[in-house]
Amino acid sequence: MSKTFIGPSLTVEGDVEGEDELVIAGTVRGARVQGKEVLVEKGGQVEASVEADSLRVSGRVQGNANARARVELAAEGQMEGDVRAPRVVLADGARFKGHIETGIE
Amino acid sequence: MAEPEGSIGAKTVVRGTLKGTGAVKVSGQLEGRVEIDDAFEVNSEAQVDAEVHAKSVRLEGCCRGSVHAQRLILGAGGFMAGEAVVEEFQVEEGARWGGRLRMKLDLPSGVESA
Repeated sequence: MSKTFIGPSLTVEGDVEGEDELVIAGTVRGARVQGKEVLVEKGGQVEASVEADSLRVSGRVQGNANARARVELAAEGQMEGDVRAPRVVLADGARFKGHIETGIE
Repeated sequence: MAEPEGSIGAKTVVRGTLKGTGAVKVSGQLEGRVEIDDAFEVNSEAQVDAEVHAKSVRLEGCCRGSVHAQRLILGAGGFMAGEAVVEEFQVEEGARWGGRLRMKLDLPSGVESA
C-alpha cells in the first residue's frame, strides 16, 4: 500500500484525498481529508473533516470524523468535532469536545 | 534524495497549496501551488498541475503549469507543459517538453537579451 506523509514542517492549505495510508505530522487546513488509515501524529494538526477506514489521533483534529472501522484518540490527542464510527476509543487523558455515534444494534 | 519531508502517495490527490521546508516527492496527483525551499520530485506515474516554487525540481512524471527553481531536471520519462524559470536546466533523452523556458543569466557584455 502506498503512503502519503505530510512532515512536521509542511502545511497543506486545501484537501488531501485518496486511498493511501495518510500520516500527518504537519498541518492540513481544508475541507476534506481522506485516506485508508489516517494517522495524525503528535504535533500534527488537521482542520478539516476526516474520512477513513480508521483514524488515530495523537495530535489535534478540528472537524468531524467519519470512519468505517475505528477512531482512536490517544492520550496526547485532542479533538473537536463529531465522531461517527462503529468503534471509538478515547484514551485516558485525551481531550475531546463533540458528539460520538457508534450506532446501536 | 534523502528521506523526504513529505510524500504524496500514488492513490492520493492534494488540491490546494503545499508549503514548508524540506523535500517533497509526489507519486500521486497534486493541483494548486507548491512553495518549498528544498527538492521537489515528481515520480513517473505522478501528475502535477501547479505553480511550483522549489529549490530544485526533478520531473520523471507529468507537470503542467510553471516551475520556478534554481535547477530543473527533466528526466527521461518526464513531461513538462508550461513555463519554467530556472538558473540551470537539464534534459535527459526521452523527455518531452512543451512550453517556454526562461533562464536567469548574466549575458556577456554587448549581447542584448531578446
